[in-house]
Amino acid sequence: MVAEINSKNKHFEKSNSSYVFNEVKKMLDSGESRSLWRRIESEMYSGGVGAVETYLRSSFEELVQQIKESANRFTESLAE
Amino acid sequence: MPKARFRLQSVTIEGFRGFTEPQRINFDVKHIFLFGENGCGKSSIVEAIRWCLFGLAERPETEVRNAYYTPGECMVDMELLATEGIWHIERRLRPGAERSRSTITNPNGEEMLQSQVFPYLARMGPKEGTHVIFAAQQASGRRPQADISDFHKVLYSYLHLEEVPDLLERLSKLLEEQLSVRDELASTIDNIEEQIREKLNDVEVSLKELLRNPPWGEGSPPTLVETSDKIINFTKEIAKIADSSIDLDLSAKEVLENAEQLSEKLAKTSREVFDKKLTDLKDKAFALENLLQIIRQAEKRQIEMRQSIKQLEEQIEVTLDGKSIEQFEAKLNLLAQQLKESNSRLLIAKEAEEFCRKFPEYCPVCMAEYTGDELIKKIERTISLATPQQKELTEEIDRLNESYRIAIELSNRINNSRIELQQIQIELNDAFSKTRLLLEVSEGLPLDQEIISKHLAVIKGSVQTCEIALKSKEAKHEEWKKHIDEFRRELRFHKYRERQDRLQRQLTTGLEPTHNSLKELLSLENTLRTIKENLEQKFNEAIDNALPKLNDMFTEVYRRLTGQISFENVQIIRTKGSGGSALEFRVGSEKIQGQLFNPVDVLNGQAISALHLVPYFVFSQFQAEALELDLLLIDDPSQSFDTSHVELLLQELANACSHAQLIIATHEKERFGPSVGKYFPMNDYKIFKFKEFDLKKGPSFYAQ
Repeated sequence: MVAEINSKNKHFEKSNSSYVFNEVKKMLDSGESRSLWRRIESEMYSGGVGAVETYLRSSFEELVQQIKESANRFTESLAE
Repeated sequence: MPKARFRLQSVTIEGFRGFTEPQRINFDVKHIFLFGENGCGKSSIVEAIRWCLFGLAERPETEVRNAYYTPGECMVDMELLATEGIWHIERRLRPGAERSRSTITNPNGEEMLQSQVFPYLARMGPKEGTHVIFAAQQASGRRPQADISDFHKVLYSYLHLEEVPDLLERLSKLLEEQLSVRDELASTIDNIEEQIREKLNDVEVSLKELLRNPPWGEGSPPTLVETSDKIINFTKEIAKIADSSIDLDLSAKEVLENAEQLSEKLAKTSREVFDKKLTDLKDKAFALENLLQIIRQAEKRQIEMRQSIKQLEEQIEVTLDGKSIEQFEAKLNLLAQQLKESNSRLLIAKEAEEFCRKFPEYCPVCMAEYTGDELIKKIERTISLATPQQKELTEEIDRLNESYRIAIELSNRINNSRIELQQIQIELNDAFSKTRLLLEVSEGLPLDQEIISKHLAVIKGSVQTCEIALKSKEAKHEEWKKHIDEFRRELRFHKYRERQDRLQRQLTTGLEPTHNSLKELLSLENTLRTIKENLEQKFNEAIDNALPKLNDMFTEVYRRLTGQISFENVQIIRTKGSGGSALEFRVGSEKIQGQLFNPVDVLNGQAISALHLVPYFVFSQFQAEALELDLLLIDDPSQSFDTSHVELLLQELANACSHAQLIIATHEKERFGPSVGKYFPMNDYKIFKFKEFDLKKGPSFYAQ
């Protein structure tokens, strides 16, 4: 992706994905968002936008499952 | 300009759109011009190449199949020339299939993934084909693949920004979905908490109710250990009475259940024993009372009977004038004899009288002659004397007979009474025997009504004593039951307390892991939202940064291509789109400062067609990197163009083809034909001319 940037054209050197992603990285100073962004970038490099979505969905799903299981366990313990 | 890795060498088409039997078009030169009338099949070649590369993602693929081609196969095979040899891209829609399958094979015949061989094409997808431009044939009903409505996508692609809006769109969708998932989870947790609060409330109500009348009386509530000790001691006490033991390993509740069982067992046994004893005593008293009644009545009847006999005897004595019946009978017999004699004499006298009256001269006895008058007189005197005597005698006998009859009757009654008296005596003896047996009094010992009454009083006293003892036992059992109930309530109190503590703990700490996970989820959501907002901001900045220069470049190419003088400026404006920003073309004029117009509202067809081509020509100027396949497909690019502008278009195409491979289909061979040679070297291009179209055979064409 970075290789695809038109380095010869200075007019658009600040208007491509890599530049935008770098700028986002600079803006995200806190540990949590920076860490997530790094992961998103890594997924982008390895599998594109689809891989990012898959990763994020799975992260959300994992937490959602965790909550559901925890809530279920708790509900079962209430019934005892 | 960098050179593309692959060059299209040939296309073989079978059963696709207008094509039937397989036909091969060889591209042995770099650029191809397809000239032919509308409907002769030239567009099918352009579309076949595009379908082979991208498929048909948004419409049913079955619509590309030629319905008249009976084998039902639909296939496009492209030969791509590379330094290492010939590669193949084949897309096939099998008969009856609804989706096509694409295979890429290298010169060694090995199957490869599109993402490995054509990463750029794979990333672009079928819609954002920056190097594949379809700009015409609106009349056929097919939508152009790179038109102005999708302009922002084309532009993002040229700028290598296409990943950002895609990512933004997906993040927006994901966050939106997540919001509803989180709301649902939060609502689930709220429901659970509400359930606990309801349970806690129930327990508190029960506790309050119990504490209104605490089982331990006044003072502070006992601890569970204290309650357990009390239960064990209480159970031990009962167990001792029941001659049983308790298992101290059991819980207080179980020990209390044991106590209850023992208490009930004792109560039952005690009730059974006393019931039996009472029944026996009551039966005995009842039987004795009956016997006593029989004895009393019998003895009374005995006395009455004796008195009655005595009275009857006295009546007989009076009736027989102090004589015995035998004496009375003798007297009666004597009188009867006398009456018989008197009667005989009277009868004789009467016979004699009758005889004498009939025969007065003879003696009725000796038949001697006799003067009858005297005799008759004597006889008459005898008769007259005899009759009153007889009457008197008869009356006497009647009187005596009456007395005799009464005496006999009285005597019979006396006899009957005596028989009855004997019967009473038998009954009495029987009653006494039974009484002796009941009271276990031996024959030698005296027994009378008084003694029996004393015994009866003693038995009734025993019944009362027994009943009192039973009541006392039952009172004791009631007391145990009350204790058991109190202990049970105490245990319930401890259970409620324990439950109350547990529910309060659950409410405060039990859901902590769930809340923590929910916080984690929210944190992830917020972090992602922050990322999305930052990405959106930087993306907009990137677009805003590019737009001034892009506008200049677009305007320059647009003016060159169209020679516009009225709406000569092209402006790209940023609007709000689903993935962040969307870009739209606007045109303006130096003459109308500060106003921009939608191209479709103010431009003619030629200018709009030219506008479609502008992005490619702009970006082909500074396309830096080598593409896998730099292919420019244009179908009827000069629609609405006049001849002078066709020249301009060819000039721009010639500039672009310094690096790209052109495949241009047009029905305007008259306007294109003469000028192609001006802008393209002879050896660089080939013209295919389409002759006719046959439904069964497909298009016919030849290379010029």
